[in-house]
Amino acid sequence: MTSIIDEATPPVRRNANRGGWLADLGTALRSGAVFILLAALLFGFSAVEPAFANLGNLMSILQAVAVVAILGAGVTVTLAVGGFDLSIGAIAASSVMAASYAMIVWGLGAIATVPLVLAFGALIGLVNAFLIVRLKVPDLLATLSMMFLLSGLQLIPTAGRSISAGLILPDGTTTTGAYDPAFLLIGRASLAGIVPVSVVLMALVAIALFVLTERTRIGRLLFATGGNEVATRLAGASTARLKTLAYVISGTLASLGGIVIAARVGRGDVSSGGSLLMDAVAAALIGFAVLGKRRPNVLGTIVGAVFVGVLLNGLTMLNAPYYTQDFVKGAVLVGALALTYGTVRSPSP
Amino acid sequence: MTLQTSAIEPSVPRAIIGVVVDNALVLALVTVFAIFSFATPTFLTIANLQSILVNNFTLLAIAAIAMTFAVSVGGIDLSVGTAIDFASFAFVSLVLAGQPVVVAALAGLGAGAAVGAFNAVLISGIGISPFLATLGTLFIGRSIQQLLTNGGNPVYLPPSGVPEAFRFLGRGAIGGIPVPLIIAAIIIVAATVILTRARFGRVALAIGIQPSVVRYSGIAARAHVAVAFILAGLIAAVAGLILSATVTVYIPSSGSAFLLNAIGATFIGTTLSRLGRPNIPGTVLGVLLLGIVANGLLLTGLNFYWQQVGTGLLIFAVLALSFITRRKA
Repeated sequence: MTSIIDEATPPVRRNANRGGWLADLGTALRSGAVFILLAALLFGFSAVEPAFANLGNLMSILQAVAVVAILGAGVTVTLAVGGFDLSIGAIAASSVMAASYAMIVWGLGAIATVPLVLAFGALIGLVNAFLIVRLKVPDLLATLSMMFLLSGLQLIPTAGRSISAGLILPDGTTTTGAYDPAFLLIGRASLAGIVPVSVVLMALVAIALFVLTERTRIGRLLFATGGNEVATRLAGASTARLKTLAYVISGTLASLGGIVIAARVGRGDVSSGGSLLMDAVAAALIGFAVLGKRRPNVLGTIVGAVFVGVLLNGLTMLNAPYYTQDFVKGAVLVGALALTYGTVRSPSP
Repeated sequence: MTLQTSAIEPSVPRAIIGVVVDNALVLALVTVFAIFSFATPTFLTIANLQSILVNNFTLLAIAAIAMTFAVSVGGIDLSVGTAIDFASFAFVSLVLAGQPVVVAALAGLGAGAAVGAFNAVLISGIGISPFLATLGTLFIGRSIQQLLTNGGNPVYLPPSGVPEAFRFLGRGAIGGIPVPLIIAAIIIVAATVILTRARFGRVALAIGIQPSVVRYSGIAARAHVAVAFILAGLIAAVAGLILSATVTVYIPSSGSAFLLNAIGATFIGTTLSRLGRPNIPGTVLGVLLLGIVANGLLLTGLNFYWQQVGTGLLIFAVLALSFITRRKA
């Protein structure tokens, strides 16, 4: 169980011997399928609902998917090393609580809170890595128990209450702190009144991780670790450090996602972050199909998150009931997976 | 190495450590049991022990056995909760519509098996890895339930309209033993026999360890994987029937509450077994461990969120124990 993308995954077979321009066209269509679908969706929705295509709405779609995309980028990195981080949703949720606690109970400003919370996420990632790399606990199990632990622990400082200004602590004292207005800007301000700060953060994370995973030696080694850990170690790379790096990145990005949520909502809500894990994982997996990569890739994850965001926003505008959302997510996920794995397989030997 | 061990370490502690490793799960269980017996006066009473078995054990044990089948072929089933829900929905709706309880129960089992079959098509037919395929099933299943219930309204059975057989399944007892417990025991025994004594079980475990060897041996690995997932859906459906018979209501997506604990129990059992393979006794002991901790923490009067912390710490502690002892041995 060390690898989620396990041996059952059929090997990639190129249909080279069938040849011809038809096969080439098929390959091109498949690798660009997500983009073609995305363009079709954008076109279709704006034709039916003119309000869809205005800049404000497109930005609100990006703002809605920013958190999922940031977490999904972290998932991508852990998938790349052949691992899996089930604790990201819980890390994001406890980061919301930690940020609120730091500002409202301890009275810290934004400048102190943000690094503190990011360090918290990195620390959790480090603990995960310690369990997985040093104690050899299976990834799923280690991060699963971390998830349990965090979702319980985050409730203890406030005895299960949400954190907002004027909170009464379990020992009876009333808090005096409040959300730093500068902190709230992270979730609510827009650059030049157009691009929300959270979208800028998403773009920065995307660019940084894209460069790290696709353009550097470390990135190639990350994928090599996921492909064959023993071979990578024998080739002289420290797979322990690479895996640790992946989990620290994943934890830090999850806490960044938590900061964005906290800044948008403006209070420490105990129930935040419920569906984040599954959404982020889904985005990363849809990303497999983007550009026909058939492996985790950061660009694909971001496109996957945006794709789901566009679909949900458009359906909402067309008055689809809210509970069709999960159906859409599931159908897109299964469709993307079938596209990735199904079409490349020739009849079984 | 031989010189060192024979000269410095006498052989008795090694033997003891060996025993500890082989029985780490039982020891953990005994320890937790002893702690709670001392910590709370009400823990070690017949009534409470029975309540652990009925409330904390049966449903999770059945769900975890379903999970064990999926894990034994090297997969995982994130949609056990979905199978539980679908079975529960079919069962309650048909009883509400006045169908005989037996017909409704069979339909419920069919609904669970259908969820398993959907997974089997995705995994064995299309070739999607189990984790991803069942994640998709989880999403789609949750949404279908909301569509069926106009956005997630529970389906209640009116107290007057509950047939006797329906009530018996959830609350009845034969010779003083609760019916759900009897059903769980039957499933535990049957699953143990299937996994350890039947050819299917051996092939399934072999697929989990080394799928290519099974394929090259000329065994239809895909078909076995498909059967394992259908079986997982079918077994989870039994939990769904008992759940809805106990509470006489179907609540959409309530089955997903079992998912993480079922994974936890299965992996506790897998990690702490001698060979590190999925096995039914290990899973059952894992469920018992989780159940005792949940019940004990409740009795100590701690807040509900300490239960989650307790579960997390417990899994950590058990794993650390297993790791440390294994390295010394």
